[in-house]
Amino acid sequence: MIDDRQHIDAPLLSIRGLRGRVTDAPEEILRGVDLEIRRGEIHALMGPNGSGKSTLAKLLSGHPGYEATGGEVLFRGEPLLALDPDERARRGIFLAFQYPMEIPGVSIANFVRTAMNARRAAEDEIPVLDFYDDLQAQMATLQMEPTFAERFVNEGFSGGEKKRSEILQMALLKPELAVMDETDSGLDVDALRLVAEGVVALARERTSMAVLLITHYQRILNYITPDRVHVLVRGRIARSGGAELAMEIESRGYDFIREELAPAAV
Amino acid sequence: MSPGGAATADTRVPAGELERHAEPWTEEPAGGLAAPPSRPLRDLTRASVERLSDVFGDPMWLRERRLRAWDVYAALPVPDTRSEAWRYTDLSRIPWTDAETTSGPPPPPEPTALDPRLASAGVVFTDIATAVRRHETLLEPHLLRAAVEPGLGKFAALHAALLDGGTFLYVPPDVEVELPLRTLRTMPRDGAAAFPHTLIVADRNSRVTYVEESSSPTLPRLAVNCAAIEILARAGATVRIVTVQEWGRHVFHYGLQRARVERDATVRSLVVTLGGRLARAEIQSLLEAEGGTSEMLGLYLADADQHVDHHTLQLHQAPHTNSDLLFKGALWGRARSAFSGLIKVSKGAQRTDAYQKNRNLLLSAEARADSLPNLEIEADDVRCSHGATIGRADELQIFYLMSRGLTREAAERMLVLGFFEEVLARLPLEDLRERLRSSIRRKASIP
Repeated sequence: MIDDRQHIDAPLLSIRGLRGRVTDAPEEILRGVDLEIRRGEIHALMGPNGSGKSTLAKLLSGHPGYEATGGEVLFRGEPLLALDPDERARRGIFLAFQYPMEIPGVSIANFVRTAMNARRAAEDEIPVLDFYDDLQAQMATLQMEPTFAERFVNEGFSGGEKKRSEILQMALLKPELAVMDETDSGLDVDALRLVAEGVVALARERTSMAVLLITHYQRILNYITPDRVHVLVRGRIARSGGAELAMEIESRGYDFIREELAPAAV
Repeated sequence: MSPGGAATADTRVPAGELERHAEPWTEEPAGGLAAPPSRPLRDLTRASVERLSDVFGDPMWLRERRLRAWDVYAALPVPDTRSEAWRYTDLSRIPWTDAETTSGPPPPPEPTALDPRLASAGVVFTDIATAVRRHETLLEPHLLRAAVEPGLGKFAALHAALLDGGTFLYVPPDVEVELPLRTLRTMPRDGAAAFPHTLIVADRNSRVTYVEESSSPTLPRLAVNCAAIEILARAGATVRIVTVQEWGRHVFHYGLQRARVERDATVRSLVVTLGGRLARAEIQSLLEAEGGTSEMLGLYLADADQHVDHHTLQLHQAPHTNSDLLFKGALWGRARSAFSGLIKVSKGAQRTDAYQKNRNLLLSAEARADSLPNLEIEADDVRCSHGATIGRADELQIFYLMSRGLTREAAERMLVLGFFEEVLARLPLEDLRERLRSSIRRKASIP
């Protein structure tokens, strides 16, 4: 009984004292981050440019250009940082990239189907027709033309198409934790709304999915209401609060947090 | 292009999926003459070629061509790495002269079941031996003359001297063959040397697609396949040719493919190199008259200790001619590849467009690719460009794919398939594209 409750209460993601940097760079960008996310929760991670938001996303996904220099990360109770990126993905972490890579010659459909099958046993591959039904339904939700599935991954995509393609992959791969790295950047109002509504629909459909929404601006939070908001400043979480914290940043900027932090930082 | 649309439409005949299963030789000698014993290539003499010609029952003209070729062969040194053309391919490391010639000609194959409508339109699609007997007047002006001659090199000469079978395709003026014609080649014996020949003559304003697939299991002893394909595209003709080489790893493959492109004619080729231990392919397009166009595509995937060498020529001899070459290769293991390509524009060939691109993807630390693009331009009003790249798989692309759950191996495989798609996309034959993708997938899954 007690064990069960502990299991239920255990955070999906637990980050403790995480430090990290660009591989082999002299300076640490993250200087001791603590963060816990439970199933079904939506967390917003905000902060000024250079505060380390994207570095956190990259460390969580296993980007080869970044390394952890201290602390630990537990995902579903198990250490994460030693795992290869594909193993992390198969355990349920999904990173929506700020700048997704182009993969010439590989169609969205082929890519996503291969990725979906990578999580399943060889004899349990998703039937092709089921896959296409699923794909077309999700594309319709995101207002994508059916022919989009045959385009090469990110090649010649507009900024909005790239972000929608990331959300499409997320919808089909059904992660436990979606880390969204500046998914709102570079989008006009309509594209932003479309992407945000896509995320909201997914979160509603899969109530156990947790989201870590990394953003510089508050505007995406007009569509997605976070359970918690954290502000990262100079590699540490300087403030945490509810959705109202984002509103405060919107009206006051990040400076007030920097100023609060200033005496302690030295 | 064709005079009168109606005439063209009348002769437009669907060919069906025709297949010729050509086996270069067999254990059983045939014909009235006693077959000569099979001999290693190194022991051959002019008398051996005479004997071979007797056994094949050659007409005089063919016998003379063989003997002249033998003389050229005998006079030429074995190419070595001191010559520019063989700089990256060291033949001394394979005992190719140990391979043995055939012990006799193949029995005449069953006549090819060519669609009767094509046959009545005058299309000839048959094996070389049958063509010698039944279509001599069509064959004689072109065989070993249309585009392939002994003077092209040591192996071209050896091929011409020992030519032992192959395919003859003739398409009469204004005839359009809609569906691809195919030849499948196998190599039934190890330790043997084969000299298959393909001759394609596409007469004025005709149109044809030809697919030649060679495959065999891997056998213990080194075998030699010394092949040539000659293509004559007469004025206004369009020829598409796809060759797929999937020999076992015991084969030294030499393949010369040479096309002559006449006025307003088009030749499009795709050379796929997957098999063989050492594969050397020479692909040449001669644009002889105005309006000639040549597309030259190539795709190679090598692993383990395979060595592949592609040597290309785009020769512009007349104004307003176009050529576009794209060769892409991926290498695993300790595989090596060499590409050397020359665009040559003769003095009078103004308004030429010539492009050449070779791209190589290295997927292991030990794999190595060399690429030598070359331009020789004597005209002054031309558009030419060439480029070569040799690069490793992009770690960020691999990371992106892995971040979706693909293993590193699966991610590399996906990048390779995508890499080749640029070439495959230019082949408007979906069935063949899919067949090539599955060959690539199969090969890429065992790096």
